[in-house]
Amino acid sequence: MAILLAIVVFAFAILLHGLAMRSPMRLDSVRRFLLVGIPLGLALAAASLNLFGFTVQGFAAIAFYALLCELYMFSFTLVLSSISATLLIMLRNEPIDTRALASVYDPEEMVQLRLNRLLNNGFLDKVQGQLIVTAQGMNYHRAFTTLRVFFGHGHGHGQGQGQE
Amino acid sequence: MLTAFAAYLAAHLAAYIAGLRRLALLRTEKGIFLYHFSSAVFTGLAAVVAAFSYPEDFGFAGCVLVLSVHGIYSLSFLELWSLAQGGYSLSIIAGVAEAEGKGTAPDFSALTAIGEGKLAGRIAALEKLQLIAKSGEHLGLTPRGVTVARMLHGLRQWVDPGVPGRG
Repeated sequence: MAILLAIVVFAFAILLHGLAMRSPMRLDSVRRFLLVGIPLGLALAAASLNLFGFTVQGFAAIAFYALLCELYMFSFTLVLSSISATLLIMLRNEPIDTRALASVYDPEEMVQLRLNRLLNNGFLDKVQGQLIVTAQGMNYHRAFTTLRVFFGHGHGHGQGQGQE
Repeated sequence: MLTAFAAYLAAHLAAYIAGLRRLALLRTEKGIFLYHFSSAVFTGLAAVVAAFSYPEDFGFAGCVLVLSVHGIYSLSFLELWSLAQGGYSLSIIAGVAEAEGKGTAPDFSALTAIGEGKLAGRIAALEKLQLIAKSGEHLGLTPRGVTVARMLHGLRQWVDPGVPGRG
């Protein structure tokens, strides 16, 4: 019952996210999901603890909803930015000549796409036509430089091997 | 039961922080994935045993709770690990910061070259997963690939309907 409740609330969150993605807000896809996912999560937590109390069932519903939300966010960010996902979607229509692949999948466009996202999300800014890193961008960069050292990935810049 | 599980997860993370992160094996994608996947399998088995042993106090809901918390922990950890390994966006920020310091225009040509290399690597990986297949000079989807591509396309259509101003 508790797990079913979590599934129903999660399905509702996906539905609202789809609607949010179709409304003209200046928010990225993750923030749009958080906008609907967090209030629904809080409502689920209140309902679950009210129905089942501080029991394993009550907490299971909350944790399961959180896991489903994280999996969903992981999936849609992957679909929006992953090279493999883009390639599979491209091949959905018809097979592609490997020699022509460079013309349908342009790495320069991928860099430009990410550049635009960083500008839209406030990590970069353009001042007099010059790109600059904002304070938010510097914090992001510092945090991940620390994490690079922690995980033992080395001290240099990203090598572009991650999920993106 | 839940306390033991919480202690196990804390120990799993502590072992990584204290020393395992220095192992060459856990600095590879496969190694770090297996570190978390094997733990999830072990936890899942332990949770099933606990569910049968304590059907009233733990049961199916206990299994779901334990696996959900492990899933959140592992997924968050692996996402951070993967992002820190070096995404395009981080490299772009680093490139812009470096150029800003030097007073020059950022040079993204290295990133473009990385993108070309990544594409070749991803094609090889998708072939290995039997999602795509080469036939002569053509690259096409396998039956399994068609199913996965349809699901990905459906999800992309759902979250990327083409509204301006979206990130």
